[in-house]
Amino acid sequence: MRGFTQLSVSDWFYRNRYIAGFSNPARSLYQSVRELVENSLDACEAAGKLPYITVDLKLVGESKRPKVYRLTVSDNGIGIPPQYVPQAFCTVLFGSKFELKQQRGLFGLGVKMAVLYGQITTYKPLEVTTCYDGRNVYTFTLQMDLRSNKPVVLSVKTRKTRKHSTGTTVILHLVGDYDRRLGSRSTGELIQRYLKLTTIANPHATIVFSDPYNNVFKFERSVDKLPPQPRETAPHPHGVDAELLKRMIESSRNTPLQAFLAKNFDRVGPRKALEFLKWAGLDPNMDIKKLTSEDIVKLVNAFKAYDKFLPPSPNVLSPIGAEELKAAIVKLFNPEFVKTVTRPPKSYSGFPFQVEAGIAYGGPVIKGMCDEEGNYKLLFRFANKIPLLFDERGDVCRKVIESFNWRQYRVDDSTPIAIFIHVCSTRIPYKTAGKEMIADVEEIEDEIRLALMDCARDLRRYIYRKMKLIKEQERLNLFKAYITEIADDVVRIVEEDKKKLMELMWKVVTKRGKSK
Amino acid sequence: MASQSRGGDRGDRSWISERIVQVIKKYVLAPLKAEKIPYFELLARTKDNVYIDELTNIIRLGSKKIRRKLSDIDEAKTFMKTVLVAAIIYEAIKYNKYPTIRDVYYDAKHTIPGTNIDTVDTQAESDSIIEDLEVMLGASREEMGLQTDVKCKVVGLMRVRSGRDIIDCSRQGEGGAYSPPTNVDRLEFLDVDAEYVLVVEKDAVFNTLNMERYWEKNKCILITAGGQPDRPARRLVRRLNEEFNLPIYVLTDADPYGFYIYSVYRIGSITLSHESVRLACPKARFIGVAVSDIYEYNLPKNVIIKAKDADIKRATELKTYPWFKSPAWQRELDLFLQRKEKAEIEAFSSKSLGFLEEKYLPEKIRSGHFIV
Repeated sequence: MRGFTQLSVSDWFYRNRYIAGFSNPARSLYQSVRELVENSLDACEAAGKLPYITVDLKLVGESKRPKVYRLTVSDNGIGIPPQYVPQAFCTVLFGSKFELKQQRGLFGLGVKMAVLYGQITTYKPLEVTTCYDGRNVYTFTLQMDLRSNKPVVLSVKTRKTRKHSTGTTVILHLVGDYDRRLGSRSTGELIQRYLKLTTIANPHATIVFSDPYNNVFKFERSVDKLPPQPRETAPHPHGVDAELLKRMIESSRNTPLQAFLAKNFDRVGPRKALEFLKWAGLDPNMDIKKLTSEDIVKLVNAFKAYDKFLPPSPNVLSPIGAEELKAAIVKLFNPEFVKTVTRPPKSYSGFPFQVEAGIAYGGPVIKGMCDEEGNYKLLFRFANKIPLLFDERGDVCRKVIESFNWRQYRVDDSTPIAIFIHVCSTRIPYKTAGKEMIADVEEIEDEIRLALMDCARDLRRYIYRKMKLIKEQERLNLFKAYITEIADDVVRIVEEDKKKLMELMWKVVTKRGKSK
Repeated sequence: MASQSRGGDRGDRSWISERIVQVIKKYVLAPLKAEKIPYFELLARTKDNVYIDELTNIIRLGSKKIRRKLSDIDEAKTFMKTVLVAAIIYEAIKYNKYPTIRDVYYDAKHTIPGTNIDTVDTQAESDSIIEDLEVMLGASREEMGLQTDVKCKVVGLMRVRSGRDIIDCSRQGEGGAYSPPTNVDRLEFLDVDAEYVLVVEKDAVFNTLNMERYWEKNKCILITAGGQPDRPARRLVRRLNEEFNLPIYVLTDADPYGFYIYSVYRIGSITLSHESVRLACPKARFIGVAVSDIYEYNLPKNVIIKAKDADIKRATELKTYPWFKSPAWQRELDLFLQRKEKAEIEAFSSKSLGFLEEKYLPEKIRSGHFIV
């Protein structure tokens, strides 16, 4: 946590709350749950623990409008050292790191946005209880000073614990609307769906949700293995712009250009740096501090034009894993058939990305959902392990599904299937500021298509075998019926043991069952 | 076998029961006990398995056999229906019943327990199985005691005994006629005074001639089956020819359907080719109305009918049948195909009422010119 810059928070917030997902009480409630849950998932990941997150949402007070809710989110994550608690929740920060990493957080604002929203709608303080050392538990009541963007600590309580467990519980009051519809679903349904799908993208997590009507939903983990931690890497030369390059130079010491490139960029060593600079016609020994704005632009353009850099390192990515995704789908949807695939990492414009997909077919859960929605190709989208619930129509995933030749895979308009697509990247190319729609980037589109084809091939084989079995069963049922009737009639003519006749007929008919 | 059936009061059918038992033992029980796939084997009643017997000049069944295997899902259904209908006939004989073929259909039709499959869907299916059984058992359905709707009507100078009753076919009232039983073989001819038999395609023409008492004036017997002849009509015609040596004249409309009806009386039909030995009457003669008659008798334009596409198609088919291959018939059919015109028997009424019975028929019979 070094070198943060502070902004004029309330001003920024009022201008941007729509794009940050806080446009109305219903959407804001949903968004607040998301921010707190994602924060908790990160805390557990940092602690290297299997997440166990509880979400409790209750209506408080009598007022019918606006409705005030108390949102409590607890995790078993790493906890927060007491000296960082006020800042972590009440100061909107901008990171100054240049490293790229697959991140959950949507806006780099995370939980603070929810806190800010809660405070301006209810004026109630935030309560944070945390334990990071397994011995001391701290409970803070906090408020934000909106003008100075500084935390105000109202009270701190401490107590000892012998449980040796870490974790954080956040209690937030906010105005919301659990029952209002957002599109075709109520906010409540969206929250449930979000939590359920979160355990698909994070199969190692358990989430328990208690809603305002005391209904409890438990989404249990389907694997007991933690996913590998995504690593941080330097930016790839194809993925930098002039602004970023300028800031990198500003925060560096006086260095020759060649050494600067070798040290600060993914896939660039001293030799590659020299080769590139020669090709670009730049002096390798030039001090970076002497680069003019024009030089910087020229350098960025040269980066983009040079095609001999290796593609960005894929080890910064953290896919769900085909096996893990499959386990989660089986646990939550219990389909008749499921196939999942993790594609090899690829890159677009200097950003590594990876696509995973799954197709689940049949079973009462999927069939029921399909019937209910009147849609037999359910789509579940994920970006960096976060479910995307809005703006499906404009998403590249939907585009691929619509143009996919399903018939070729024996999937017709009434075949109930659920399609899961996960795109992870150091930078997801969202179409709009709302960050719910992945843009039609050709490389990503191709990978999604390939992943679906892979799954659909197995599905075709499964459906084909199933149909064949059904046909064979129907054929045998017909034979059974005929044989019963024949035996009935034969004993009307001659004295014979009916049961034995049927057995004999069944025997000769099934003996060559394979032939027509 | 036919002689066996004529004994006893209503005909002894026990020999048929015995054959049913034999068939079941041979085709069902024996292979099953050897753990082999059972199948019924019978002569195919298809166009490619019939031929004209040059000696008798009737349609005969060839030697091509078809099998209905229990192990084939499609043939198994026919196999099942065959056993089912056989059981129904077996029991009808056992309990001394004489069901109609429609009764057999209703008796056979049921949903197989525990399924939604019906044993038979239409009467055509059970009728066809009955015909299969005729071939397999070597017994006609009349001999099995199965009844049908009899369309055949007869009037004229003869008396017959049916059961305990004596019927005078010349005393059937004004415009009335006698309808024989399904099994014409059970009729006993007492006296037949006629000089010939006139078979009329159409019921309406039959009625007209009957009202005029044509049969009395011309010393003949009038028979109709109202279109396609049923088995009783064919058997009756055959017996009158065979037993009393009466000439048989067939009168139909001048169109391909009429010509075909004549050919059924004369040489038989494909689907009943196994029965033509009993039913066909190779001495039957086509008295008319021939296509050439339309022009020879100068029928007025307004009674000549333009042929329809279906008529043309049928005539083209008839031209390929071996029993229409004679030069005379080929000329008739070619004339039809060339002029594309047809006429009904009643068209002669345009010349004058009574022209048919007073001029046309006597002339034709006198001349002895028939298309053969």
